Amino acid sequence: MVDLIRTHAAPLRRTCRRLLRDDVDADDAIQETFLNALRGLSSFRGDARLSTWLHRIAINVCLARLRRARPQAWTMDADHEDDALASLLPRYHHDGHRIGPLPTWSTPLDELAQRRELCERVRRMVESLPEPHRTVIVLRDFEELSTEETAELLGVRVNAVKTRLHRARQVLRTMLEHELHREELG
Amino acid sequence: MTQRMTCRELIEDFLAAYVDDELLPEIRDRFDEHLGQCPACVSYLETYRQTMALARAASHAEPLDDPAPPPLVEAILAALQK
Repeated sequence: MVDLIRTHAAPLRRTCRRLLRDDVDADDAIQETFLNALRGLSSFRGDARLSTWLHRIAINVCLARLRRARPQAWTMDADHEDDALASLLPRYHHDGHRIGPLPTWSTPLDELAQRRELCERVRRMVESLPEPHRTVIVLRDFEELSTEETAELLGVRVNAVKTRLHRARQVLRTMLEHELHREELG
Repeated sequence: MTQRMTCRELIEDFLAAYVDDELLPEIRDRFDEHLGQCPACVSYLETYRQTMALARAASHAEPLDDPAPPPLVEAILAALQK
């Protein structure tokens, strides 16, 4: 058992931290994950990887904690969600043209992706997103779950996941645009 | 004659499906036609894709506390033995 915990606790801790944004809460969630795993061991199917099974349990534990902590954030409708992000979403003229596209960044992706401090800033940007968008981008882009898995874990429709993910990526793109364009101007 | 896709339609309605390669062929043709005439949308699409890639890069670059800190392992074991 000690070996099993040593093997799996580190990646589970990273997942729990990403979702809960708090080290103490994350460590509590890991304990709950292993407790739930022990209780549900009979439901573990040998064809799934143990790490994948534990990972799903940890995500469920974290999502339940987030729902308990801020239930209102999980019942927001799509229009209200967009209102909260309006200043970071594209705006359009009546004819459908985008209003004043800003000059954007020109540094190549491979150069950007190598920058550790930028990766850290991207993680902070994701942390700053409203909860429904943050959880979707964490599950889809960080934890690399499918859209269907994400919808099932969040208890929402596949289309809601796609819409929130698109919004989250748009907002993240605008944040990067502000930051990188300013940086390139020096 | 098919109406030209607007920037709003391209970005709000179809871009996410485009990057996932889920657009119907006739919509994709209209999408590509718009891109051929709109450098601002080409730039938006490119930076949107880069944003997706940077999110993944940021995730992979996140440090892992491996092995897990001994106090955490002990706390888990204690919780399991209660």
